Amino acid sequence: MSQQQFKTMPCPECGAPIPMSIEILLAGQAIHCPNPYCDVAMNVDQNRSRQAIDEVRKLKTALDNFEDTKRKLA
Amino acid sequence: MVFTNSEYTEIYQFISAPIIAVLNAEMLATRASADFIQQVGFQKEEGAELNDFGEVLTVSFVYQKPGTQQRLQLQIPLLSLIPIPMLQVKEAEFEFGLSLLRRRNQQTRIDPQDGAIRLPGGVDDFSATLTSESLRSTNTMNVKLKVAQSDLPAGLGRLLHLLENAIDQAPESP
Repeated sequence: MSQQQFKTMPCPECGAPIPMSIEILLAGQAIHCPNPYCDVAMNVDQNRSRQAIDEVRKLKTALDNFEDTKRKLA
Repeated sequence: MVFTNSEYTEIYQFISAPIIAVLNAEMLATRASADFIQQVGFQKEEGAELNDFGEVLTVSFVYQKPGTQQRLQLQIPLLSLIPIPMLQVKEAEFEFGLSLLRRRNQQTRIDPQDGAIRLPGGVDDFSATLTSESLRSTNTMNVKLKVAQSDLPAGLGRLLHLLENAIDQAPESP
């Protein structure tokens, strides 16, 4: 599984697909709706999402280790 | 490939062994995907039963509704936000050779002395042995596998659809 694979979530205001990835979830930065006519910027609520973010972080570590091993074997 | 101690081995067992290995690998990959879904997507309580996945794990987003001062909170299931690994063996190629040596009137079997495989050939039987030099010297089989992300199974697609419908929006609570 590539870490670069993107999924999307619908913008809560206009419904436009907002790209989502492990990196975006962990970045802790505002996520903007790509629709130029929509002004929504969302932030991950770190407190309420602590457990989910911990899982994502563990997943990222596992994927990074896998990529490292793959590079070493290549 | 390791043959059993049994003196007699059917040729179909020799050929089917790697195919069964691929099927087993697919089964393990599917189980790993199911484990991933359970571990990453759900919040299992301690002491819960094996089949009890527990509560759906969600990511909470907050945003300000455009044109207002109202701050809203959005709960989205984690599984609908990250890629789910669903691996599948797309192609499998096994390379080994069999060479017919001589006709024999006996059952299919592996000779414990020289490793030759005795093949049944109708009324008259044949004996055979592995031909590749590398196979003969190392007793290995060349295996090529192509593994790729599989299409989303219909059931999992339905689960994700249910999760997406479970997106919860409410005014931000303090």
